[in-house]
Amino acid sequence: MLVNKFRGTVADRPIDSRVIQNESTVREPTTAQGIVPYYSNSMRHSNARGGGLMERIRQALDFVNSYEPEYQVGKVPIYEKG
Amino acid sequence: MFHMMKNPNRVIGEIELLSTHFGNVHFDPADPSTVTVESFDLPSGFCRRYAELLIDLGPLYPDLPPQDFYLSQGLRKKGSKLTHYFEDGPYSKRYCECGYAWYSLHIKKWRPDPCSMIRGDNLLTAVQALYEALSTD
Repeated sequence: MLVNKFRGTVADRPIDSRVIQNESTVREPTTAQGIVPYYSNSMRHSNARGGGLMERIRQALDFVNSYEPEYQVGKVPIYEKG
Repeated sequence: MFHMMKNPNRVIGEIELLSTHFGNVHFDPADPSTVTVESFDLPSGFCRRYAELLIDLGPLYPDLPPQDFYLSQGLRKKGSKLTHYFEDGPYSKRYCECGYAWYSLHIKKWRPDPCSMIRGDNLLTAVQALYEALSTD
């Protein structure tokens, strides 16, 4: 059974127009660009038009569940601020 | 100079997991020890909705938790500077010279599962800890 804590954290965020995308797209390595010159690749998902925040959450959880249905989402490792 | 990671494929799998939630995530496939989330949603109260989040995983990730977290410079919460947010990088943190501010967060209990990236701690749980820390800062 999924623990809802992580979903609750996400749901605190305002709905925006960005959506989790459907298909995984990995670019061919390119010349490193951007602020930090260590990266030559990015990972993203192609656009899923029309989905709201809850749809994004559902897709993310479906992705997780496709690997391990028994995994409980929502654990936070113990930390301290320095 | 960088150190090669012990299990880069596992790390890339976790980056995939992170990207399902946060969208575009940048990394170097030859050395995925540094991960940049383009648009990391900030908790309420911040001067902006999103910031760039850079995570320095270190060479021993995922056996050890991420080493350092960096955020875009110039962040303020309810008009004030955050307590654990260092724009000047007093501890010579490497990415402070690249336009980032270091957020001092140390994960004390880290339980990755060597056989499954999602049955234990992973990049998602690490980022969730950061989000919770920022919410209470």
